[in-house]
Amino acid sequence: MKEKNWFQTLIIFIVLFAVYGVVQLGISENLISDYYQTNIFLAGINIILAATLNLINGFTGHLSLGHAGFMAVGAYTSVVVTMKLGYPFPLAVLAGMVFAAVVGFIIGLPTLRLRGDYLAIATLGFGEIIRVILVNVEYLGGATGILGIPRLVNWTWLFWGTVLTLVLIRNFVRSSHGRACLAIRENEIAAEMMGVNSTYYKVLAFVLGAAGAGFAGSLYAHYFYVIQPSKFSFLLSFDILVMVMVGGLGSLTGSCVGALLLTVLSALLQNFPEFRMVLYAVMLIISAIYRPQGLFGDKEISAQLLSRWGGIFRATSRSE
Amino acid sequence: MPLLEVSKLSKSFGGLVALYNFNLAVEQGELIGLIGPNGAGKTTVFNLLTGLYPPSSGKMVFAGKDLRGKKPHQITRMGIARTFQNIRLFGNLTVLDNVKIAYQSGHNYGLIPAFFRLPPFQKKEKEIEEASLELLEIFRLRERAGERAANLPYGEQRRLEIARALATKPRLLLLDEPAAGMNPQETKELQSLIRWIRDHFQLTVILIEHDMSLVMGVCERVVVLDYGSIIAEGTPEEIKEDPRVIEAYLGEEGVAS
Repeated sequence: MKEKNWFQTLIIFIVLFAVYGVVQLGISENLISDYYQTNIFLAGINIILAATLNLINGFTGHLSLGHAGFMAVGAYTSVVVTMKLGYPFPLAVLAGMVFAAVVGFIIGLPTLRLRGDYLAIATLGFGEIIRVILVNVEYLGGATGILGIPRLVNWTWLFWGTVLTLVLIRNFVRSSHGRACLAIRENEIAAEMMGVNSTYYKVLAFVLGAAGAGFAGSLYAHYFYVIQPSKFSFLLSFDILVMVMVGGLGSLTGSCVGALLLTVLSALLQNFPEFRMVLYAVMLIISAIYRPQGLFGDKEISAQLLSRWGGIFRATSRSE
Repeated sequence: MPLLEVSKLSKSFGGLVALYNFNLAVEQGELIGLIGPNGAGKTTVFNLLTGLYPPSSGKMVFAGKDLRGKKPHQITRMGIARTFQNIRLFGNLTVLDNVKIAYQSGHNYGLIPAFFRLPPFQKKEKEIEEASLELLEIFRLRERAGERAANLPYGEQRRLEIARALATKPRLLLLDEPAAGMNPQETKELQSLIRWIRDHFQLTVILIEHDMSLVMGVCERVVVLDYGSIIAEGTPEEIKEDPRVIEAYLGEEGVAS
């Protein structure tokens, strides 16, 4: 068993390095055009956003619609740290995450007393408040935002940042702390009765999710040169929510697939921006009717599952 | 000193008095039945003891500590566990995870070990898993460990609820209608199970139940509630004879059992 685990880890590492290497080669040899590069970066950032929102919505079961707001906090904080204060980028990322987490804590503590629709509306409102504040702060460029941000994010940052985010969330979810969050999702009263401090865990999941959004925001800002408050409106929160819902609440694999799917779709519909939202809404309706648990439900594609599928495959091919 | 001492406990919801001047002293190791017609305030007693509602007035002292103003999870850690009348399992989680969640509160590790899978994580997770499986073994649920709790048959869900409550390492166990929906055979098994866990885990048990055969068969002392007030208290034999109880609750058919 132990040996098999090592073997699986090794394979996962080989696959990761292969993906990383191939894309890196493609970028440095100019085989991947700017258009595709942009979309690859968007996909990575969307995966981080979807996975961290899933921590709140899927695993802890509290519908939040303020993710774009936390992303904005991370983006603006990191840009202030690199451009206005002149500190190195890693420090800026850290500052972006910490500040997004702090804002998450301040917003989460009062709003997480609410549930369901009420929480969704409250977080939506707070997300918009963050955006409106940014529009009105002269220091942060007001409605025009901040231009000419240095591009400090490369493929290495994005790829390993995404992988690290996913690994950390997976580790969290499969620990006693993650189980406590799942228990709250399943039945909050019973969770309290079993000794789970539900307030602590709800706020924790919210803060961790906000920090993740802050991370995505700081990567985004330092890749696309420009940040504007309008970029972080509730429409973005909605996009992320669709990724999570279509992929499956409570499945990290689902969040990745949902994020990739929506990135590709929005790239294809680039010339018809008004159709994009229509299509998202239709997707959400279809998924709510025919597959309310999302593509993956709360299942993961793990090495174990793959080897089980392999086993089934072998068994069926033998019987033929 | 009694393990649990409740005096003059009252709770009203607006104009409705759910519980009025409820007094109860429970000694270590006792097995007490709490009976009464529907709406008599039995579950309210449990909800007050476990911190779900704040009492309107009165005192609750458990093992020398005041229970008022404590949150449910704090009360659980002080040593009171309960099951629910309407089963409240973590339905989409596995049977094993249900027990793990209850067990881990006293055996947790920090966030950093969880994020990076450091040695404390490995060690404690192993400990939590082994203890949880052991408990499932006792309740004959070990083969079901990997199954979703919601998929278990009704009787096994009831057993899992008790197993999960015991995983919090309580000194006082509150069982809210554990035999509801069970057939006579299962109820009989439950009766010996309750006695056995009381002795094996050195527990004190308070039991709410409508099934008279279970209450009369297992409890050493019975408290009868009606309209939020205690109307009788005594051994099962005394309760059976008590005219007030017969009038309020057991009616004509109840005496037979």
